[in-house]
Amino acid sequence: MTIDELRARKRLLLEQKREAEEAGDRWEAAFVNEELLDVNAQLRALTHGRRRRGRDTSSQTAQDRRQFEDWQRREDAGETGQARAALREKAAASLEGLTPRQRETLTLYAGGMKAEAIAEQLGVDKSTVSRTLARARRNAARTVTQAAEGEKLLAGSDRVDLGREDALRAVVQALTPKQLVYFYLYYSEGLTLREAGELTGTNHASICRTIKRALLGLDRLFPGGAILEHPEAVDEAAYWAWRELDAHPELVQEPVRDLIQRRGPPPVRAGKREYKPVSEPVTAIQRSKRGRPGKLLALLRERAAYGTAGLLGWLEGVFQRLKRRWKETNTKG
Amino acid sequence: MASLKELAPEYRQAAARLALRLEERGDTLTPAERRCLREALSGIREVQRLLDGYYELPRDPDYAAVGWKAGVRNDD
Repeated sequence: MTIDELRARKRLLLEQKREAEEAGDRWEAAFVNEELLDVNAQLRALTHGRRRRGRDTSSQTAQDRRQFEDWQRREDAGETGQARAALREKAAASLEGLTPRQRETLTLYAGGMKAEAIAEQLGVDKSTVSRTLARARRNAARTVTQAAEGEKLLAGSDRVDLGREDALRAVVQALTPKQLVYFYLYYSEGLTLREAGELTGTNHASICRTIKRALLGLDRLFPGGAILEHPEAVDEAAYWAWRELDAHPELVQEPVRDLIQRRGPPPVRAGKREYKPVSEPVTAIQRSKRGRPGKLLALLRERAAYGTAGLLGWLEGVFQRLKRRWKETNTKG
Repeated sequence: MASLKELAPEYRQAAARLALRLEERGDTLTPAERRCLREALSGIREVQRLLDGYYELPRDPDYAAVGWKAGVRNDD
């Protein structure tokens, strides 16, 4: 029986069982229940989902085999052929997001070499190879999922409205908290780079660099380029995160700067650091044109009146909180 | 002689009967007895499923006699 037939049978049996129970015919109900258990077992074998582990019986082995055959049949019908071609294309694109070393290691591994052999060839420790491979896999997976998410958001158009919650969530998750701070100040509030710098006590040149990195991060989400509209939506979301942090100060993350002080400064690299040429971002954002400051900026200015020390860290904490909360609700949903 | 598939409904009936009795008299049994009967019930259901799909489902070779060969004896 196919999945649809089994589902129809299940509905029928449930109905029969209910009727038998209402009529008080316990024997009939028990008999129908046995068949229902059987149909359920077959359905479990043919559909995906969580499977109980531990007990592996011979009929389960047969059912696993049956599932495999069902997939095989679908594949023969050409259903999975297209999906597989798309997957291959995406996998090729995902290599773009890797560093040269990660790509090199992954290529060797894909060629069938063991981690030990790769370590010997590249002259590094085996654990370094494992770590690099894990990072490469994670990066590649992220590139693919982000691109797929962006494609879904664009849905054929070249514009994305950040007023939509799913679009805003995707953008927030694609950027780091610091990038989000400057993204917010520059695009959402329409401050100039120098104004944003004065408010947070940062050099405007480094803000410019961070914004460029943010745009490159968004390029991973929209590889073909996109125009993001209504960035002022960031204000509303961040305002709630701010209020939450104000009410629960114990949620504030330990500032990263303290950690650095405790651990000592990062080691100085020998020789000149090589900067790889950065391509120009293709994602564009329409800056907000509203005249009045947003809710969050009003709060920020109040706070900045007492000095800008610690303000950037606090703002980063706000966006960190926002990211975490959305991540949590995503995994729950 | 009945085919294996024809035996499956009888096993299903047996399972239904046992399940019903367990439900009715479960309170009067000791935990050990109840556990034994539950195991028997799951065994009956297992056999029923195997018999039901005996001619359609591919079986695990560990449980089927297909491909078994007699041992070679060189004593003549």
